[in-house]
Amino acid sequence: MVEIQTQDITVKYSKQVILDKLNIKLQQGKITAILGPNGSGKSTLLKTLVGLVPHQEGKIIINDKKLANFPKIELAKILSILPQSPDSPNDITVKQLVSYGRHAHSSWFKKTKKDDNFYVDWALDATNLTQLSDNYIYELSGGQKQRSWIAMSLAQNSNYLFLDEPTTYLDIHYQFEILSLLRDLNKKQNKTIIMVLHELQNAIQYADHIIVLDKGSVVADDTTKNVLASKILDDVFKVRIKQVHDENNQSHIVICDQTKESQ
Amino acid sequence: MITNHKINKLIILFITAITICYTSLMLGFTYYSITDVIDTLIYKQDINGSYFAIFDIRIPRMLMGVLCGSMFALSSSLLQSVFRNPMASSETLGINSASALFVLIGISLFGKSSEYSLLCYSLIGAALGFTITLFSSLDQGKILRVRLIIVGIAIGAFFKSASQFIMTFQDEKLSSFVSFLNGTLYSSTIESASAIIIPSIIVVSITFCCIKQIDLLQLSDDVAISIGFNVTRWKIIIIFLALLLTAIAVSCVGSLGFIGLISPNIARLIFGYSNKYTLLASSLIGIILTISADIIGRIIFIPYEIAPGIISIIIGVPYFLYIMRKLRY
Repeated sequence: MVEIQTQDITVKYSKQVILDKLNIKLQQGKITAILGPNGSGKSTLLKTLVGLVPHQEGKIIINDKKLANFPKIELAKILSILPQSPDSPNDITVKQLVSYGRHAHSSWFKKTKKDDNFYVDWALDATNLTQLSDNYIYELSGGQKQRSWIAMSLAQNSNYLFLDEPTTYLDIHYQFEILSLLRDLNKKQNKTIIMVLHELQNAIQYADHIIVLDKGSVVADDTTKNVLASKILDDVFKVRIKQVHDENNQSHIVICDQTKESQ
Repeated sequence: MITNHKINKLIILFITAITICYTSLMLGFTYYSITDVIDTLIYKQDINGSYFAIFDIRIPRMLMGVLCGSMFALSSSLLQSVFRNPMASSETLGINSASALFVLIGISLFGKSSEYSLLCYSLIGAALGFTITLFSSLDQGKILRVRLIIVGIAIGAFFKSASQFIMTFQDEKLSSFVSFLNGTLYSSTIESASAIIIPSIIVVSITFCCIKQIDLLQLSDDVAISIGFNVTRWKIIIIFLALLLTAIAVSCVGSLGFIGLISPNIARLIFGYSNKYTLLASSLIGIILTISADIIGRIIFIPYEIAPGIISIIIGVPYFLYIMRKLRY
């Protein structure tokens, strides 16, 4: 098991403070959504947690060791990151892309071919891409492309999977496809998933745990149920979140405009 | 299936390159037939001065063309991968002209003291030209794609003018540099060609050993970092290889303009982005273009010679405009 936590991390871009003394402990084996209005620093937090953005104060601790002391290649075995708009040449096959995820495990001396093939096939299977493995990236739909990237991250075989707005630019159908896939990975493969989400509804529906950021500070870090009960999201996003029941008595979340409600 | 296809295409390119090299032994001030060349090469016969023409003039030229053409193309392939920019090349980043200027300065100040002195002047120039271009196109720590090319072309023009400026005040000794600036195989000798064979082969082989890393450089930086790839280290290594390749080539044949820019792009059109085939294809195309430009340059206005650098620019600029349009810069 790998524990990741932060102690008073502060991130600044030139002089502007983006994240202000954050203390977070990531929930292992759970799906955590990082939420917050535009400019609240949620994407920066994700990138800071994985070492893509340097922090000026405080420290990030992975198993009693500072993140800064991890070589990049060792870090890649513990956590994989899917950036917001990943980019690759278009004319490589899905399988090639996924096999890039094995980079951290490759070595000049050891023969790792067998392991590599195993994890690549496993990642393709887990993301339901085995059929498409010889297709080129440019032949894929938005959802399939995103699944390929997730498969690449999976091939890294790390405990933690960090995703920066994995559903942005996707049609609603693909959004559900990706989020259900992530939930499956969490349940079946026991992956810890930390993701920045833009859509409140998706977060409430799929995350076990929610971290809410506002102006660079954590205003909530709790289970989805408690966060909903505390009405913090209502204040931060200036909305009214209602729970409604449909004809089968299943509960759904409806998000209404607060300003209109008050009229 | 697809792989076989690509291997077939590579074989075709390879045969084309050999055919063109052979043709370059036939054509020139005097024409020798296919059999004349064989008789001269294998049976050492002298047909109408063919022994001298082929062994002392055409073979060194061809050899130089093969080495330098492939190195210009390879070098630009590397730069295009590092910057993920199809318009990057040793020419458009100002490296060629800077390198040529330093060869010129080096020779006029210190002379050609050893076999590798030209190479040293050239490498210093290449590194300087590249560094200036790179730092001028930085904006808050990021390289702006379009600015990189525009700045590079401006820097290149500056160094080229500086060379011409210096030459205006120099004596006859340097007049041969006029063609050097444009890129020429004219002054190739068997000595100059054999001097660079070993360094070229070493640098080219190292380059081909890095295919996997060059492939990974084509991912966006954040992705490459997230899979544990040391992007910065490999960018520096690959850029250094590119500078070495350019420096060796420029020290021999001068600034062979657009060959480097075009070859990787043609290779990519045929073979795609995977460098396993594209790097090899790019160097073969570089050879084909360089030798063709040299053949054209020496046969269209006999007895005058037109530098292959100039021919390559005449062919290259329309192509440059075409990719500008296609990529919507």
